[in-house]
Amino acid sequence: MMPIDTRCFFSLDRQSEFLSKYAEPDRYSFLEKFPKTGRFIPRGSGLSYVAASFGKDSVSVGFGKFSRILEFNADAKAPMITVEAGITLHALHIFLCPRGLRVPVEPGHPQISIGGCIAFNVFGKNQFKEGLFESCVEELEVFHPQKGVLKCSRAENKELFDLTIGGMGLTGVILKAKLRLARIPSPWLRVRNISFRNLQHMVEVLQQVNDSADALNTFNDFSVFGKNMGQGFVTVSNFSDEHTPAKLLESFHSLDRRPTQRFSYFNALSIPVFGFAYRTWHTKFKSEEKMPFYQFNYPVAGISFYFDWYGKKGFIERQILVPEASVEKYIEKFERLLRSYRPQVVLGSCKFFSGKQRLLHFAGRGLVISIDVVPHTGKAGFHEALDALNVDMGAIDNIAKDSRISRELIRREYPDYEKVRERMAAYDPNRQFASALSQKLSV
Amino acid sequence: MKSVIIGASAGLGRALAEELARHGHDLFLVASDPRDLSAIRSDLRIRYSSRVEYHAGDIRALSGAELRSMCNSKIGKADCLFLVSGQSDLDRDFEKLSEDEITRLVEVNFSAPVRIATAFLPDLLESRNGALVGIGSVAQSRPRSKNTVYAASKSALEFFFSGLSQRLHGTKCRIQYYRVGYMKTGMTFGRRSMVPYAAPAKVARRIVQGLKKDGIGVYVPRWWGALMLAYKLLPGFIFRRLKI
Ligand SMILES: Cc1cc2nc3c(=O)[nH]c(=O)nc-3n(C[C@H](O)[C@H](O)[C@H](O)COP(=O)(O)OP(=O)(O)OC[C@H]3O[C@@H](n4cnc5c(N)ncnc54)[C@H](O)[C@@H]3O)c2cc1C
Ligand SMILES: NC(=O)c1ccc[n+]([C@@H]2O[C@H](COP(=O)([O-])OP(=O)(O)OC[C@H]3O[C@@H](n4cnc5c(N)ncnc54)[C@H](OP(=O)(O)O)[C@@H]3O)[C@@H](O)[C@H]2O)c1
Repeated sequence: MMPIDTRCFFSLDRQSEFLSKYAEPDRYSFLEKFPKTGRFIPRGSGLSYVAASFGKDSVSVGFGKFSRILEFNADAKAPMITVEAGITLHALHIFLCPRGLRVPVEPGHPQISIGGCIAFNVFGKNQFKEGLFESCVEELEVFHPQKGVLKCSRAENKELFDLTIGGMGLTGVILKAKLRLARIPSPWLRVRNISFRNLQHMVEVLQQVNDSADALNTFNDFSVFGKNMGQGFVTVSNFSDEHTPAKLLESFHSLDRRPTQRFSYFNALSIPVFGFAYRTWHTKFKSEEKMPFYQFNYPVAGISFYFDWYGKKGFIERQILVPEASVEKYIEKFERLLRSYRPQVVLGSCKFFSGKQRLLHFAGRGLVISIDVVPHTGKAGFHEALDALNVDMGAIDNIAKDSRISRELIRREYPDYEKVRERMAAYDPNRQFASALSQKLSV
Repeated sequence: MKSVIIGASAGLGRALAEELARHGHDLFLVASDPRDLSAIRSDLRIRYSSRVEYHAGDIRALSGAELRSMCNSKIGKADCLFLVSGQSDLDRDFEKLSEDEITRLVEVNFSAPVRIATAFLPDLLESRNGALVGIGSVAQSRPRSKNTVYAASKSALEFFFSGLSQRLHGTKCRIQYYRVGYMKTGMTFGRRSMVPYAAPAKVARRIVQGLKKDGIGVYVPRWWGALMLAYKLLPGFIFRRLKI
């Protein structure tokens, strides 16, 4: 038997909290000790905004100790690495960066594990160029207590491969992953911040720089409700041609969530001040700079207190992908909603996405709008009204980011919802892997 | 430098393997499961370009002489030997342990390390940077009603190290026996304690830093020394009533 403990788990946004069972194997003999029956859910670094790696009735199984590099091929044409899925982006950064390489798709925090990247098929700051994490996954090894250890790839066990990427840990434990690597043209980025007046202006600026930038992101200030709503700046980054080695990101603050009694520092007074200061600093004093590329990829690594500042009530992140054809109309309606409900939005951010939506992947061609909202602020009903707008306009919410998403909403937003349920049920009729999230969504 | 780690697949042993690889040591790793050892070998070879080999087996059944000759043929004569492997049945003792379990605890924590240390001794003595490192526990500081067979075996191992340290006096081989405090490893998973658990990587760093010195019964982390002194000074009539 695996030793099992009880732990209190929080989602990053603090909207979910569960006392549930926890195991943390550190040796491969766990494969033989893993019970054949019962409910489980794999856990990587546990940084998800939602309750994806724990649940009331499931044993959460942490794989952080499985963090080794198993194969590495620095081949000039097709560099590859095979890793255990508990390895973090940080460990890979420390190994790969001095060798002029990187994982091509990196979500925004170095503590995130490769297992977590695969299970949510995450995106990076360059989604419009590199696509989703699936684009760099070549092969996986997945363990299921009833099926044993299975290899899968685009050529072998295709169904398992397809369901595991973006499968929220529901197909079993990803033990190993073979990943395609990308060469870093330079460890440095040239970064420019370009101001915009409002969301419409932002779209124009994004369109102008989209083709030439290596990565893009925006900061939007939603604390003003007049004609400048959503004002901010686009951060355009391009690899520099400088080849001097950049300092590595040696350490960062952990984002592990613990119980807290802290109150929120964000309120109707502090948010506009924060927005103004952040905008002014980046557009007036830091409008152009050179930075190590990881600093751009992991913007929160140096300011992890940002999440703590929401206090014990946490926050709600809405991340919405608006289809390209509806962007203009959507922005109009979105602004109207914000004006009438006036929620307190601390941080807004946008980027362009490319590709096609399928299964429950947060993907498609269009504009992604993200907002971090202080819970229970503004007129009641904002989130429900936003849900309705999204369904109406064919936009999708990111399941990985929003704890309040319901089964009904996902069913209406994601055309493949029923198909995913059927395929998951066919793969594992006993549903041995389940989280609070998957149970809520009935996936 | 060439180092052998007995119990290298997890916890402190794995952390020591990484720390030694970082310092450029070639490694010969021993533990029960080849899957763990092979993963560690790949990782250390790739990240530190070290020469790493392993042998998988239960140390109770392995002959010290065989291990030594395997090490010699795979990486060469050992300079340092780290006896890290250990097992404890934290919740059971005395009549709750079967005879087989008592034999296992004594063999893993005492007799196997003694056999292996003795077999490797000629190579350690021959080396210009020889070192023998034993891992004990704060549990052996004062006998109590918990974990007693484990602590008694570790005490016996410390006794052996003390004797050996006299034998090694005047040679180039250094000898250290550490009484290690609580660490966050598989051995202590799920256990609550009022005192903090150390990260095995931190303990490993301390042990590698101390390779050039002799020391028997050294506490790591250091502050455990003060805590254990207070614990030892507790009068018997109070100590007997304590459930710690
Ligand atoms: C600061 C911050 C910035 C972020 N930025 C981005 C971003 O830019 N883009 C983006 O897409 N996402 C982003 N995210 C979200 C994050 O990438 C995902 O939530 C990711 O899944 C977290 O990985 P984790 O290792 O913490 O996984 P966990 O939270 O532990 O688990 C997430 C899911 O992965 C599954 N899982 C984990 N390990 C395994 C395994 N070995 N086998 C099978 N399933 C497994 C779990 O079951 C669960 O369903 C961000 C998160 C944070 C905290
Ligand atoms: N953890 C603590 O809080 C703590 C406190 C004080 C002292 N210590 C001591 O520190 C040392 C390391 O402890 P740890 O916590 O790192 O332990 P651990 O995580 O349980 O690792 C023990 C290691 O020893 C190996 N091992 C055990 N029995 C073996 C056998 N019969 N044959 C071959 N290998 C064997 C294990 O490999 P396999 O699993 O493959 O067998 C593993 O590599 C031990 O001596 C322990 O007594 C630990």
